[in-house]
Amino acid sequence: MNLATFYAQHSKLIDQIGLDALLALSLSICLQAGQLALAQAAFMGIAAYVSAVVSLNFHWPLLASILAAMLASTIVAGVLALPVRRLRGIFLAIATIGFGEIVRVVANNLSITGGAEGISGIPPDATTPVIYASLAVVALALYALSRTKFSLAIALVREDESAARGVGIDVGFVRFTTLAIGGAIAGLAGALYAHSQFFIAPGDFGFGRMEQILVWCVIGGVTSPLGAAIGAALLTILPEAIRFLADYRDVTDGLILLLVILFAPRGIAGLWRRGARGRA
Amino acid sequence: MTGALTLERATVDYGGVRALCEVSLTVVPGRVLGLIGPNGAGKTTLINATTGIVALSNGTIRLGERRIDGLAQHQIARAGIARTYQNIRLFGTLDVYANLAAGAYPRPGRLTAPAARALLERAGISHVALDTIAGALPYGDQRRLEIARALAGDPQIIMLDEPAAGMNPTETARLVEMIASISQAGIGVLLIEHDMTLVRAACHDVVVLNFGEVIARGTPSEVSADPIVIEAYLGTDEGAA
Repeated sequence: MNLATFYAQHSKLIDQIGLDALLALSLSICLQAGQLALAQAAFMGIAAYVSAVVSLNFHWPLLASILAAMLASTIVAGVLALPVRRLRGIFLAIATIGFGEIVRVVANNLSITGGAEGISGIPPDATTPVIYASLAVVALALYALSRTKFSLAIALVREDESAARGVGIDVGFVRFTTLAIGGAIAGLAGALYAHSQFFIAPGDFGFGRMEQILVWCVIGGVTSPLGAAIGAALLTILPEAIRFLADYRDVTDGLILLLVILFAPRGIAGLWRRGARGRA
Repeated sequence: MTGALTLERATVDYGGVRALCEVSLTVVPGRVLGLIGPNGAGKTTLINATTGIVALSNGTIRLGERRIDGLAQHQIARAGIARTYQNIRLFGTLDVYANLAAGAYPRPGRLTAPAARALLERAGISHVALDTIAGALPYGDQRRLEIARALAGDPQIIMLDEPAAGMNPTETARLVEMIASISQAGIGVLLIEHDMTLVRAACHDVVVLNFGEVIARGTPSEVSADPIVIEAYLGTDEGAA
């Protein structure tokens, strides 16, 4: 089988891996700052609807619709950051899950989002090169961020917010910024998703999606963006590679999550760090 | 004098409890002020109020001419006030270098490896490697790494909350030397301590708190001879010493 036929057979899966990797990265940046903020699926959904509406109703080109969608999801993430600024851990998780449900219910009932029927006929112009170019841009931007002092601030906020304040770090700013960056990346994924699916509906952006994103990050290693992206790729490929598992996707995902938490709590990233130390 | 930390009639209430009552004191650059008093006297509350963790209900705190009460914690840290904690609060899963870089965060640029090693040297732990995970260090080294982290930000004032806790006599003696060298570098030191031997050896001046109020102040020998202090705090300890 040559490359062209392989691509023809698997292009949907390849696109999905790229999108899932983006979603994993969008949550990873929040987790790196210690924020269990679980609204990525909602940000994705908001962006998907915005990009679909401006494409269909106003005939905006792909790039403009992506940028509009990202702007919308970033603003929503930034606004959401304000009321949840005093929430931590499980309380933050619950509040952001609640926000996600609100978004889903609203999308289910608005006429502009097509209600429960969703929106169809979105131009499928987010091709594989577009998706992977977007992933490359995000990866490069996150790499550049990791080379700045701000990445230290992110780690310190995760470690101990109070001690971080004590050394002069504006914890509120770090939390706000990471949430907004997460919102932007999830928005990019959402816009690309809409433009690679032809059809979107509120159920695409519900808690099931959010839970998947979280599982990818946990499996990859919560503080490692590369690990999160690899976790997303692995769990997206797995049900396709082992066909009979496809019907039990939720079961296998849950099982893998359980095994990772029990035997490799730092995820894939933790395994290769341990490997590197073992060799040294 | 610029850079002095001045508390004026600083008062802190926790609900109905007055934890700090009209406390006035000045930490002068280049000098070591000891803050002593029984448990619950308000010593740590004074540090927490100064660093912005708890709000004053009355009074003012200034660094030099600048009023700092009411500022956010990170702004106060950036203004040049560093601290250590009674229960060490390092960034335990990060390495030694990252902890020092954290302390240096408000300063422009990045902390270089030689500068980081110089900080370890200053804190008397030059044997510690920069890539050691901070939480894996022995207790005494963690205490000194915390002081090194506080020094990394080039503070005007440093507040040490019981730095000798858990140290043996040799380590305590080295701590006295370190505190002397910190103050000689022009930094104002506020030292909370229970160990009177350490206070006598390290401090130029002492303020005694009890029930949130200043009950005595003076040189270490004046204070330890003060009958009010002996009654309130030193008690049999002093008699035994």
